[in-house]
Amino acid sequence: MPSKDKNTVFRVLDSAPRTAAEHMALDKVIMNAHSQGLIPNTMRFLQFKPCVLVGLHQNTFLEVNVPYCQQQGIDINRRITGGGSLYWGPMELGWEIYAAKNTPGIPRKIESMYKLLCEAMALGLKTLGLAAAYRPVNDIEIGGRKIAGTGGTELADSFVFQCSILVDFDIDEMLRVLQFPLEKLSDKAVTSMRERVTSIREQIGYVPEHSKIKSAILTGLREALGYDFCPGELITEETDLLNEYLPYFQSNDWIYGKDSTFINTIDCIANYKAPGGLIRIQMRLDAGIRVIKYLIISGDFFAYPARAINDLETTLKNTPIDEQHIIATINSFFANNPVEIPGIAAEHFINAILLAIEQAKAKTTEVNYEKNKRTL
Amino acid sequence: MSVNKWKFPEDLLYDTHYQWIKRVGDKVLFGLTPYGLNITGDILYLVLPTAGTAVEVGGTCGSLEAGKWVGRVYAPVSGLVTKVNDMVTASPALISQSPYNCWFAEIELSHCAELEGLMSASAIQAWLAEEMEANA
Repeated sequence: MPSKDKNTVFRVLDSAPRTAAEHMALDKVIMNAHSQGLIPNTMRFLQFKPCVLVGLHQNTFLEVNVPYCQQQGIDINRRITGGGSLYWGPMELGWEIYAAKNTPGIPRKIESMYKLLCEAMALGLKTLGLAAAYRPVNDIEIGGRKIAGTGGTELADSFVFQCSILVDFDIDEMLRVLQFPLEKLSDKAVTSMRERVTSIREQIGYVPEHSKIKSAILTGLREALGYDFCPGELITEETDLLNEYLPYFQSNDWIYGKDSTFINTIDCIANYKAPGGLIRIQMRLDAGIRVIKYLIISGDFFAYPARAINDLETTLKNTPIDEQHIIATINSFFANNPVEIPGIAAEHFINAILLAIEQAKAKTTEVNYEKNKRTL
Repeated sequence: MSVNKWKFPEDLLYDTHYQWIKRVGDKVLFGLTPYGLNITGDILYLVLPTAGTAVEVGGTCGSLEAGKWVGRVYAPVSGLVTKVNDMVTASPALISQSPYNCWFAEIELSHCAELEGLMSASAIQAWLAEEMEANA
């Protein structure tokens, strides 16, 4: 158990639901204030009015159904952290901690820090009767289905770790709000997504009061890390900074970006016929075809255990697109996991993924050709 | 984890953000050490300032994304960015293969004395050993 010092006592901020822009601006405010030594280590709960949040480097127009969001009054904003886009319903809950990198008990290595804090979160969810567990690299799952995701960033000697929990999640709305590399919004797409995510309501049959969920989270962190949590408020410097930053976080420049450093993406679909059935890959890659951003593997095969496919997808997420790396990753997954899929082996998944990558490359070439033709 | 496991060439300098710095005349090249890479994880995206940007020692001058973590690139010295390694920004996977060959950017020094604030190979090893002990 880490020793008690001022770094292990966290100020807790808990406000009424705010707009996405306010929350995103506050993230920057608290991060800056912490890195300047103005505030103590801080834990913050977040509730949003319905919104969609894209990752720092994402292209909003490729990730979000902007006209639908505008029509429905769903806020769109950009996080200061990386990763993919998220839909936040009115019941979803987030929490984040801002702390010094040298806080007792916090590993310096990012992967280890994710593990520690995700396990603390899983411990908290267990107190609500949920069989939650950490899923590498940065998720919390129940029976192979994601219930919470995490992310983070750093500034000088401070870091922020963020976690979003699905409380009463509306998958149909998420599929309308986000642009997935899925074929049209069919029943299949909804079923496919239901197999991959879950929520507190689905697991225990009701939505607990938010105060109970928050208390469970604090219990998990207290037990796993030995920290203390005391209610607090923003200090004057923070509210001043919020007023200063907010207009930018509400601006189209921030939300839609005019920065050439955004990562554009390309979607591709491939069908590969293996002896045991069809493997269907629906995948999103960055436009430079360097990294697998997101993928859904489906088909008419049977996998045992059923979670094996979700686990394989998670393993392949954020994998660099390098043939040898992909081959090694998939082979290692099948060597280290007891997976049975009649008539389908690791090599078939390798072939299916590589086929999808080829499709993406062909699509890029086609787009470039069309562009060049227009220029001529 | 032991600090001895990591290689810190004698001819380079180091900062507290796990970056290496190489002086070449009145300019420096800098990149991420293997230890820094181990802390962050494989880098998927790297965003650096464009040539001509003025940077200040210790200030952020870029970002890197590894999985769902956004890390920062810090200017090891003050000066003007004179070159950016486009090969590394185009293929950040190269950093994992050869961290000491993958310089991020070249900065023309505006205050040579700032180099004295950086650590030698033996100093960074001592500093890391202390840090590892504190975070054990």
